[in-house]
Amino acid sequence: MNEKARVVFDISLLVFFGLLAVIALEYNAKARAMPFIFGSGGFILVLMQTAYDLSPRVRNRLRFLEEKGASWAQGPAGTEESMEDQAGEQEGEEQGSWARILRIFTWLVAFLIALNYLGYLIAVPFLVFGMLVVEGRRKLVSAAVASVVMLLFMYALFELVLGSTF
Amino acid sequence: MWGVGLTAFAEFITWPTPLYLVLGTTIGMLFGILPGLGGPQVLALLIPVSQSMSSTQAVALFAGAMGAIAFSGSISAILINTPGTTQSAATMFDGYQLTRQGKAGMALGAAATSSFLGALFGAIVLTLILPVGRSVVLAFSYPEYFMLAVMGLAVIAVVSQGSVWKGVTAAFFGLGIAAIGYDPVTGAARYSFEIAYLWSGIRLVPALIGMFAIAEAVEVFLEKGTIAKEPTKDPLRGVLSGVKAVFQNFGLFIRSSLIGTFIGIIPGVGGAVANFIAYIQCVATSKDRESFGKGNIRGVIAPEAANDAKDGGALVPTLIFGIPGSLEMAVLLGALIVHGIQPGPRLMLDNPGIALVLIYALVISNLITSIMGIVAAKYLIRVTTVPTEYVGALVISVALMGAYATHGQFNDVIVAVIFGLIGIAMKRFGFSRVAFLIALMLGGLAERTFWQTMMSSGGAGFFTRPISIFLLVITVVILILPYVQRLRMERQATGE
Repeated sequence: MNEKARVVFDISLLVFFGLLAVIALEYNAKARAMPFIFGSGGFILVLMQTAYDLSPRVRNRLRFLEEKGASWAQGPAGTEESMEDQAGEQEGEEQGSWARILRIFTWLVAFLIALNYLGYLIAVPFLVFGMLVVEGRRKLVSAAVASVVMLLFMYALFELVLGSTF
Repeated sequence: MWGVGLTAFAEFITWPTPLYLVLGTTIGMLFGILPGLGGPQVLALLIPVSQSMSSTQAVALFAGAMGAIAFSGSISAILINTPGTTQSAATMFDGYQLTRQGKAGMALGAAATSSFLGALFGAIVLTLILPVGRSVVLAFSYPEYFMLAVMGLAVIAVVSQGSVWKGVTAAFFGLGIAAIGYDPVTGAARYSFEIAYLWSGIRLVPALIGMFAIAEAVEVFLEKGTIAKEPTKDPLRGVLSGVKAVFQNFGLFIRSSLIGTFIGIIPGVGGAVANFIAYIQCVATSKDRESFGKGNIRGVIAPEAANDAKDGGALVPTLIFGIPGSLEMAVLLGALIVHGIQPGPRLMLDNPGIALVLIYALVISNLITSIMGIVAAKYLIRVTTVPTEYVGALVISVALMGAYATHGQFNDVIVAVIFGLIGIAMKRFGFSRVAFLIALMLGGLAERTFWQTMMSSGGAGFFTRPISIFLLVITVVILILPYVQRLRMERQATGE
């Protein structure tokens, strides 16, 4: 799952940079210069990264892609895996799968819909309660208390202090 | 000058001015801790409250709130890896790691001390510079701004904590996102797809909230147990060791404060840049670089000194020219004008006392905030022992509402959610979010000032002004120095 997600992320970046460069061509010379440079440069960087991630043969030839930032590098280039890579992989294994992350983001999308159509007084307790009970498997009573506390805090901040309304 | 200073001080300590200062500080702390809310919001909130006050009392109220923001933002950065404001973003890299090691008290103690002393440093520089500040501000033009942005972007290669390749990719990603919206030179709407919200580009605050606050809160939510993986045995002792660490690293503190003050003076650059550049210089000049991002106390001291010292610097253009360098300063300017104080070249001639009251209040506010932070550290640390599900869910909801509160736009909340997902992916796959953030912050500045320099003086404009050349040399040194040191280490190792 992690490998698949990595490739999906690489391809998403490729599409982003590709679109950045192609759409830039529609603008006048000054407006397109920087985005075109960032788009085409980024596209090349991600293309090589994708090839590196997908193929072990390419990986052996592109060892320089592993080179660490100068401030952190302690030994010759390419001898160790990047720290963020290592940390990320470990966290990925320990903390939960992408399926769980996507489920949490589904809650956030539900929050957005509730916020837009029902207002924050409903959206905030809905999010806190739903996440705690369904995803966090906490007790109903403690989740309800947390939701009410959050609701009161938000109400005090937005209505009474800031005078904002949705 | 001494006479004016003493009169201003007498006014400053006359009751109930100190009460308004404490009130402003307390409200500022609350706003600083909450992600998305910060200086502009709290100052805007306080303007109507201050209507019936004298100008001295109002200035104390405003400065109290302003002074409290920076350190308060760092409290949430240290404890829950969610910066209250953008200017505390760099503090969380090492501050949060210390919290996970059960050393939250040490991080808070160091941040509080560094913040207060940084603010004091900035205020002293401001007091000294006010009479001659005009020439300092005027020394900066487009080429200098551009070189400053280049310096920030170039160091991505140095600070990329994983693969440099991925760090540079993340920076390109940030630059690409920064290109969304009106082109700063020709006014062409880029990548807006006829969506009105995108005309002004992706805003920094919701992107930052998503990239760090939401991404981290989701990761925290998925963890088992509590944030602190090791128990905090003696919080107070930890706080004192943090205080001591600032004095043990006094050279670093002075360098970082200088950077903060210097960057603060330049209009439009801001506290987030000061925070990052101070962190970068701290890493680049340290021997144990591999310990940064893993809980090095120096990684807390440097950004904290800079983001509070920058307040003194930022007041230079605001007070001397009446030109606000940031949104926060713009609201402050408006608040001062409401009270009949006209910042500008004549301020020091017509109303020098008010400028001094502002400086005193800023310093005292920082002192109060730091003391409150240290005293409350014992209780604040308890948040790290709350089950992660509660911390995660509550931080996510506060962060999402904070994204809304920044500009009152629903689209900002959508941006925060999108960048939350991107932030998790970047973290897990080793793309530096720091590099992304630096590029997003500096991309617009670099592009705008590049074209402004090209149009006003051509390509030679970058290399004919002394400050511009100085900044270029500093950039080259920052880039080369770690490689030279690494080469030397390799040679030494081979020799052995």
